[in-house]
Amino acid sequence: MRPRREGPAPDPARVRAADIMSSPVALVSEGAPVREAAQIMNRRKISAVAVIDARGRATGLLAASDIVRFEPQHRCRVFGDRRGYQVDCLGDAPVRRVMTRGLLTVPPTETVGEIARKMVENGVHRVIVSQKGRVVGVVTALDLARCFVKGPCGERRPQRLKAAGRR
Amino acid sequence: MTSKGWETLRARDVMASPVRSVRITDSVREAADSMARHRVSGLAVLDRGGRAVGVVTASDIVAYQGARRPVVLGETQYDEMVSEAGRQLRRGFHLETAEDERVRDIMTPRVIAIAADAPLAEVARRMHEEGVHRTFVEENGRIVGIVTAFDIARCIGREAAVRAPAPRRAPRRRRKA
Repeated sequence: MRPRREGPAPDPARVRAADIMSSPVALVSEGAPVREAAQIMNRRKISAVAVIDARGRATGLLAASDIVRFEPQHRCRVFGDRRGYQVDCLGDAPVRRVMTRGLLTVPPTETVGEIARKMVENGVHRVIVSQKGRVVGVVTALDLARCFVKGPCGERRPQRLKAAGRR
Repeated sequence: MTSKGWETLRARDVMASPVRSVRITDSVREAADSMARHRVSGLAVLDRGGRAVGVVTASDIVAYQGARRPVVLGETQYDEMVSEAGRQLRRGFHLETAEDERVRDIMTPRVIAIAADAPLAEVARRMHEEGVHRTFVEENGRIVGIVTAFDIARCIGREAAVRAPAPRRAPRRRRKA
């Protein structure tokens, strides 16, 4: 396949988070079973969901890789007595036991270059875009890669900022 | 390499090598274990002859998790449950499930590969078109490495760091196409 030339490469200092982020962000509560989060990821074809506490504040992320990291150490346990048995599998475990706490956030005005630098520095594949303490979007490494394909990055119409952190 | 702009880089400059892999007959748990150990989110799947026949990712394992039937302790499944639980209790309280499922059942049986000398923009375009986070790198018909979206972010980030001290000096690209 011949490489297509698509004009000059976009400048990572010019395009901003709001131009390339996905919104709204899928949310799941800390107490929900991992299975539920897994189903959301499946359905929406995404590899992570933001986790919120009982008050609706974002407290971390649950990524596919978190679940995978947990999988090998987790055995389904069966316990009980004559009156009944209970089964504890990874799918039944609450999200809070598997999630990664803490969020790497950037403002909607953060440049793509800065986002890339922060991702690499922190060894994460996605950053949360937040505005006034609310989760408004997410930018993944794939979004950054994408942004160098479709002509100048950010040519895509900026999505309206939707507050997803609280409702 | 730090001084190179990302647009001059080629797949071989940024790829990770060797590619982590599993056998098609390995269990899902072994795949998960390997991903966790090597801190990667995707593995090449090899057939008996060692040929790459697909890829298995963290998302595939999650899809498998999501699809797994919840264990309901209601009346309908109770009898079944108790007899199964009893069996497991006798064996030492373990109910192995991810051991039974094989990589072959959850993998994506497709190998997306790009030439080692393909420019990074081409790699990014391929990822975008296929909607995937990683592509294999091939040379002389052999898989020699893998490039992920994160590797591309790394190049952009590195470049941003290099440019940061003097962003206004000698702007290389002025116009917007």
